[in-house]
Amino acid sequence: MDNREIMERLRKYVGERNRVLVGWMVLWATAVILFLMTGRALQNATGESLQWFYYGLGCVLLFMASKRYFKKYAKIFAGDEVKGLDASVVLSETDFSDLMKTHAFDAGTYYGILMRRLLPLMAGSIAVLMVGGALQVTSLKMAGFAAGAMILFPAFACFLEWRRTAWRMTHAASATRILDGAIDSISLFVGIIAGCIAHVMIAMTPITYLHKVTLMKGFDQQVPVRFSTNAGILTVAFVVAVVLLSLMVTDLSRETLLSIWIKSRKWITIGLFVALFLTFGLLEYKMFNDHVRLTENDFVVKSGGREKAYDLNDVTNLRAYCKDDSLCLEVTFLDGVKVNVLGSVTEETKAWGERYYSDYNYAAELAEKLSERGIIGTLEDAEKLQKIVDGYDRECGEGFARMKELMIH
Amino acid sequence: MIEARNLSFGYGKLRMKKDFELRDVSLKIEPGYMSCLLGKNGAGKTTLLSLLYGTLVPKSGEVLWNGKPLNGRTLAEYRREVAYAGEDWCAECMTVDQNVEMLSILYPSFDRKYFDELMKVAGIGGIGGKVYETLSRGERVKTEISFLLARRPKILLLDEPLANVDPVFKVDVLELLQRGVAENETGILISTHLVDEISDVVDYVYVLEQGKLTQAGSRFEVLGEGEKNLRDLMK
Repeated sequence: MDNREIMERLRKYVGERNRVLVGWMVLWATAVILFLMTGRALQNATGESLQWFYYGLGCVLLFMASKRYFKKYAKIFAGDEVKGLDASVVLSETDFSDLMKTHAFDAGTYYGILMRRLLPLMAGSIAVLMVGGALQVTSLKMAGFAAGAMILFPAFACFLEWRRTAWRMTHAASATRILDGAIDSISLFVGIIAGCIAHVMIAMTPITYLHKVTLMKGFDQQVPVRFSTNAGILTVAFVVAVVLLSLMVTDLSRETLLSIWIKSRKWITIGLFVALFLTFGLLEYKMFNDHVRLTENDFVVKSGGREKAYDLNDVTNLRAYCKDDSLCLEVTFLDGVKVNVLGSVTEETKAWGERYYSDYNYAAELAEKLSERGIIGTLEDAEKLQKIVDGYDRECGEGFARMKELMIH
Repeated sequence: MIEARNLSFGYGKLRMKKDFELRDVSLKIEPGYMSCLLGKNGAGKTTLLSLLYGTLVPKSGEVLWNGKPLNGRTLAEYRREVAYAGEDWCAECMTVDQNVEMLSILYPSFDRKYFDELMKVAGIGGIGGKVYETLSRGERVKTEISFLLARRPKILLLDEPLANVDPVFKVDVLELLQRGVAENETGILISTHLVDEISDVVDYVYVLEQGKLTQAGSRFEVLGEGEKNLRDLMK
């Protein structure tokens, strides 16, 4: 039996014993999701780009995930056999670097096996990132950066763990303790900093958003507010999930593992978070792959990940109607594409926001520009819309009045 | 056979033992014989055993295994043939059986039946299901020695196995070791400062004083007819 075979058998044994240590997978998956979010220059409610923050956080999580993966196979965790014993008597875990220093342990071969077993996951994650880049879920540039991190950080974590254990095999403990402690402290420090930044964002984003909504709805009900699915709200959900997940997977104390109830709760929580990620992932995919971006005279329509720009000359029909007490404006283009440009997946440019007082004023000006091109729009649900507009201020009313003048109703 | 040639070692300036230094130690350990390393506390016994086992790297000199120098590449193979009993040899949070199951993976020559037999001989046959942390000092020593002997190593290095063990346990431990020499032709180097305990069972004696080997030879050459104690040897 050669070294490789012996180390492989040991890996299997330790892996089976420590099978409950799944936190690294959650961190890894979270890192991949964060990397997928990096390419679109996401904006939070304060308008700041988050892509490099996500990238940095993804790198930290990836490094932590990799370290946890190697640690899973480099320590012996207390199992059910210590249940019922006095907690002060029994150690919760034994580090391989301590345990193996007096045994025929080949650290190079062992960590080589562990690294090789991680390669399919690394390749799969890189493939996901590349597909994400090709489908414009993220940019190819950021996908490339993330793929680099996918190789670099696991390899770096493997190197550190291998050297730490190998060093311990032939040297006294203090140097490795200092090295390991320093690395763990640095990663923990960076993780805490990232977590703090995330917390500030969590606190700020909904406050800013709610402030905006409250101001518009509560104190100035004269202007209609169209609910726009700002990326910020999804950002909040993701960051909350990431932070909570990070907290959850760090809760691996012996007491936690010894409790069957807590073990069950752990799996349920993981399940809920996975469901949360999937739900928000789908929502976000939908949002970023089916949306309309408005400028003064142009419409950029993204459907199924493909983006196409239209101008006023491409419009063949305009239809205004009421849905859920909101104004909808359906524009038909030359190629047959129909889109509600005032829907919930619409983004406006800053110039658009400054130019138009409300959707009604925008609709009126659009109807006017199209009528100059010989296209007369139709206005449905005029009475219903009139009742709604009556609740708003004078400028909105003027916009709607102009719409009625220009459109058939 | 293990051969140490002119081994020197120091712990460096930043360590607690900065004044300690092991100087030019040379010795041989051959299969089939029991040797002992005598010395007071702090004489360098543990350091020397660690150097022989490869858990420390000498500042100068070398350790040869069957004529070949010991290095990082050959360490795992070397340790399959040479066993070392010290602290932290197994996971404290696992039971004895679980530790044996896991650690025996590393040693294809491990004989489980022989291990069980040795445990029975040592009077601790029924502790397989106990968590290692909860074992007494004596039970730990006997378990470790049983495990090491069941690996059927060529050489066994023991670092003060008789310290803090009651007299009955000491007899059991020495019986186990003698069985190892007789049945497996295992060569044993046992470090201790308890001359009386081992003077009847060892073949060779090495005396270590402040990091230097001051005496070496057969039991009769160094200890005479058993009339010398450690204080006499240190004079």
